[in-house]
Amino acid sequence: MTTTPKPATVLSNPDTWVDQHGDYLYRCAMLRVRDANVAQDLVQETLLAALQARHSFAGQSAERTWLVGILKHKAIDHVRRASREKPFENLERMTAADDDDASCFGADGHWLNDHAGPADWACDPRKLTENAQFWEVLRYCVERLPERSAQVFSLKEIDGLDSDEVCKVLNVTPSNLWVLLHRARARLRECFETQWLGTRSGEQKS
Amino acid sequence: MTILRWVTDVVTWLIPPCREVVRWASQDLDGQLRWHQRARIQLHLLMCRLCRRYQQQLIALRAALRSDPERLADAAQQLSPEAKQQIKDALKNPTPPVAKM
Repeated sequence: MTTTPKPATVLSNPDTWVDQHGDYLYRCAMLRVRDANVAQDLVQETLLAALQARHSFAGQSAERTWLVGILKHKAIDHVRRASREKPFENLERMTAADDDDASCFGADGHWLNDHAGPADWACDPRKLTENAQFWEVLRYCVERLPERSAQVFSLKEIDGLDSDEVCKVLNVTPSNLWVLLHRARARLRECFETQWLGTRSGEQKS
Repeated sequence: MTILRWVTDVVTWLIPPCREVVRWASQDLDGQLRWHQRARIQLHLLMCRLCRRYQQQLIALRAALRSDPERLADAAQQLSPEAKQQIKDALKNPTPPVAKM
């Protein structure tokens, strides 16, 4: 270890990892699996794997980023195994009428009225992240996605896997994936809108 | 009547209804639409303020998330002291034994 050429490539003492990164890794795990025990196991697996692989750490990223990268793989492996054990219900038979937003549309397939459609968020959507409450509201809504939607959503939007990979991990067909993704996004959008506008009207009152 | 029906069908094909457009808007985020579907959505969006807004909101949420997904993690969550101790113990006595690289 003393002959390491670049100081930047040195990892901190593994004995300090739990205190330094444990909570952060745990949060990242909870974001992906939403089960405290599983998340805790993932942190442990991640740190054990990191311990084994520490000599191959190239120092191209910060220690924490490296650890989160390992955790991501462990979490995806977990979801893959879980999807094999408990496959998705048959989604093919689900029709548009089963969608949450079915009541928003009239018989002609158009928004029933202005109220049924998306509301104005009263801010430039591109500047959302500048608002401190944005992440709070979004987190609230992501946590409330149904389990399956949440899995699809997290693999696609949080881990950034491409569609083929998501299908393989979850063992679903592409057409199922589109249905699930649409539902997750529609639900998230709606929840966000309700909470966001609620928060803002609260702000104006106070 | 037949002609009227035919015209309606063509228009519906050309300009899909909102219900269809919101599904396609999601698929479009994943680059899954064919060129003619995208053209038809655009045609619809030109005329429909609500769908335009819907699409912009989906795009905004996706862009925000992609910019920093880990920020979604809840800062209030933490490992219990027992869990930490357990992981520390596991790190001290890794089983199975560390394989030679």
